[in-house]
Amino acid sequence: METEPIREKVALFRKRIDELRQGVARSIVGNREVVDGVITCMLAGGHALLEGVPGLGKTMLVRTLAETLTLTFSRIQFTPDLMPADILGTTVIDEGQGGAKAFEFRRGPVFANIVLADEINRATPKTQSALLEAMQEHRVTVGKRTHLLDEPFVVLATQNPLEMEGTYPLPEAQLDRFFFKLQVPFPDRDELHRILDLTTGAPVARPEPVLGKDAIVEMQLLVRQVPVARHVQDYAIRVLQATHPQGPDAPDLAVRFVRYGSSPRGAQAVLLAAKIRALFDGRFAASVDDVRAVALPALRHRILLNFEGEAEGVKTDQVIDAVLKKVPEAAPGAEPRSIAN
Amino acid sequence: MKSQEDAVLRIVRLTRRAERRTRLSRSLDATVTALGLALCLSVIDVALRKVGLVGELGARGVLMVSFAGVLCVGVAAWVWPLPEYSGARSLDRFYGLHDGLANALAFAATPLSERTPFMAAAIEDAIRSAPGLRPRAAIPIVLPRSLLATAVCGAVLAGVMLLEIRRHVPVAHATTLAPMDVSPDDIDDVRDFLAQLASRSSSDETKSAIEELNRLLSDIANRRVDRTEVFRRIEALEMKLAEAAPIRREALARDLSSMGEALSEAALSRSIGKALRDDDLGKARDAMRELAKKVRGASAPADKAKLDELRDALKKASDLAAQNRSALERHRQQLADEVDRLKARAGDSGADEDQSRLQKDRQELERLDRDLGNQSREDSQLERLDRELAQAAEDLTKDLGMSSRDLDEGAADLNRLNEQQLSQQEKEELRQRLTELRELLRQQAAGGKGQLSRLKRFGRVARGQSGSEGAGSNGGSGAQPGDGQPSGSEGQESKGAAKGEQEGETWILGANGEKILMLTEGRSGAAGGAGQGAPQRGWGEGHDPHVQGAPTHAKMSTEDTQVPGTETGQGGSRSQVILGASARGFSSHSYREVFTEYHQVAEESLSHDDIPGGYRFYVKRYFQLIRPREEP
Repeated sequence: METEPIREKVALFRKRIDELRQGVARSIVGNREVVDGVITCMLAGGHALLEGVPGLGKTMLVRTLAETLTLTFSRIQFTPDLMPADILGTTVIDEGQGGAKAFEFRRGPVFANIVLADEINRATPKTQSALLEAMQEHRVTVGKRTHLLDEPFVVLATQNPLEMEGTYPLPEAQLDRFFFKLQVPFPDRDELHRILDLTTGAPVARPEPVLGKDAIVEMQLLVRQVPVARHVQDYAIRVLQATHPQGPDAPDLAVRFVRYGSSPRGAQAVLLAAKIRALFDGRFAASVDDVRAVALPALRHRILLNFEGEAEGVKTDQVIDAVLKKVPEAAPGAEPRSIAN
Repeated sequence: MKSQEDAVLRIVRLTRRAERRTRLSRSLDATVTALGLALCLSVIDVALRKVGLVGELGARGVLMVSFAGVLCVGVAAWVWPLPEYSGARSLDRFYGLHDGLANALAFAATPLSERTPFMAAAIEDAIRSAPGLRPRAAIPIVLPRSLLATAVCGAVLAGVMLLEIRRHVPVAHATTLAPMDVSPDDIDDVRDFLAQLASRSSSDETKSAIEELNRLLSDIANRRVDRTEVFRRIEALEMKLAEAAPIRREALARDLSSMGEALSEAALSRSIGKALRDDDLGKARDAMRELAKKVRGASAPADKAKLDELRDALKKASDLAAQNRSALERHRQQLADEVDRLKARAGDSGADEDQSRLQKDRQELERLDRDLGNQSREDSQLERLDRELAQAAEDLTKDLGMSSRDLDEGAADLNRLNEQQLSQQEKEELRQRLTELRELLRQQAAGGKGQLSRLKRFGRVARGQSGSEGAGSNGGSGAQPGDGQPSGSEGQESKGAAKGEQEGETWILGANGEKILMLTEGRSGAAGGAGQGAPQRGWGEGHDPHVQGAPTHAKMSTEDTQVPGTETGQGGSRSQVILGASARGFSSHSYREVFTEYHQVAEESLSHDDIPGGYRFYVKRYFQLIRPREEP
């Protein structure tokens, strides 16, 4: 079987990713994992929820990414009085050239390739739910008409974990629709030096677009071709099962503090992200290490703690760490299948 | 494609080698761990075997099971299935291949039709990286973590195996003599009694028994006999004395009394009759000799009436004796019949259930045989006397001289009877004393060494010595080594010190022989105790450093003067005597008198009153303990 074309494709994939990283790195200091996570979400066709205190550059990251990708970008600042129509769009009466009046749909900010839902938890659940169909189905239905969203469509939402007053935590159903939940860490001293150098000096030139829409779609299709061996997939499934209190390999932490484990959508996210990570490294198949590396962002928002866990201040990251430690990389006692001719 | 398959097979071989190393490492680890546990178990097993709590077979079984278990664990660890792609994943992990080999093997297992270019590329990458892979480096056979603990267990096992548990095995050895310990005071008491008995005894049997008992006492005193031997010899002596016991003493006395009644009817033989009635055979003997003398000197016509009266009395006494003899014969016949009956029963009853009864009958049989023997001996004496009296009565009518000889012979018979009776009394006393001695030994043994030491201390106190040997600064007895100069000790001085009971007290002899307690500065005892053992003649040449002034010159001429005391009978009251004796020992003259008086009363009470045997012993024992002692 000829493997050269696929090798070239993978090499091109890596080249594009490197260019994208470099473009983002011109404006964004550090946060390599967050950048990779956002790119992963985009390539997987998913959405990302970025959590971090104000001022960490979440919005800047999303804006920079959009600029480097030559994709349409819109930002929605979620507030308590934000209405669904403010996001999706509304139908207005438009007077034509002949004076004829007709209803015309005015697209809302959701009609963009990259949508920044800033401080999404400040909007009411009704408004938050307006994003549900768009995020899952990549289309918007207003009245009797359904409007398809342009691909790629990526919602990058941010939320502030500190300010709980006047906020509306995202419902579990909506959280589950986010491919990744990324924690934006506070920069260290070196990163702060670089941030200050960049932002307090002469204006920096805006990043140049490095990837077009077609390239993104092509990369998304390539990701789907990456194979996953059965034992790797089995490991992802066992990790997923272990997040449930009743799971066979569930650690004590999960048994004690978890009310609901991850949905199967979590395993999908893990495998897709593992594939993308393999491609990032120029490999042709996902590995167990890839699964382990992406388990945290893919599963942390899909695990629902019980009251005791919340009262104890347990984080879902702790539960996932315990799961990764507990679940063996290979099922014990399973003999490899015979190699076919 | 063929080359790719070969390459994949090379990867498979690589992974299998890696898996074998994994199995080996796992088996080694499990085996060493199991070996450690087996060694621990073996340590316990061997230790239990050493102390004898587990038998040889059981211990060997546990050892075999333990080490067979180790083998089983090792085999099981080898054959237990490994996780999927274990070897490949081990290599991947070591070489950082990100599951390249495992994925390649998984993709190679998929049918070719389903194999995608990505899979093929992954397989190619794995094939490309395979030549540089070394399972030996990826999966090193490291020493098991439990090896140290196992080695320690092995060392402990070796130590336990080398450890020799000393087991108490009673070694057969010759039994050493455990001499019987009797207080010297008790031995002296018995010896005193024997000496007193020997002085008045004329019987050879009694003297022989006394000598034998003296030898026994000497052996006891010299600690040459053990308890068993002592009791055996006492029993032998008792048996010997019991053989001559007066079984029919009362019957004989009754017969003699009836003869005495008959003889009392004649004026000439009245004194004989009275003596016989009083059971005083010695007096009867003398009276009969006197009668024989009178008969020899009497003239028949002058004393015819008295002689006739005497003849009638003698004849009546002879008849009574004959009647008594026939009664004795009947009694003997009854005894003989009983012996025969018992012998017949002893012969017939051979059944097992009659064994105890048979044993009892045999004992009764032996007693009857012994009774018959004694009775025959006594009856022969009595019969001879009867014959002599009858012959004397007959000869009175013919020849007074003959009658006189008959009476002399009758007197000789009475003398023999008297001697026999006296001998029996002595034997009875001796037997009684043996019984008391046996009881004494038994009780001393029951009291243990504490009892014996108390008795010894009591004996010393009773002699006026200090209760504890060498206690205090009064020097104790003269036999105690002192710290003075030997040359300064003198026998008399040492003796004086021995009498001291407390520091600062000295006993001196008064004019009447009474002891007088003199209070001194408390140094006399110490000075007296400076003696070095046996008193020596002469005087010492040393000088007590506590005494001021120049020492006495050794060459100075001296003159020893002894002033004997005079007994005037004037002393303290009885209560004072007893009080003083209890405090200072039972060795004063006054106490001896008081004791004698009290002891006589006690003996009379013991002989007349109905006092239980156990209490009787204690009374006797009490008086034995408080008896007067010789002055030390």
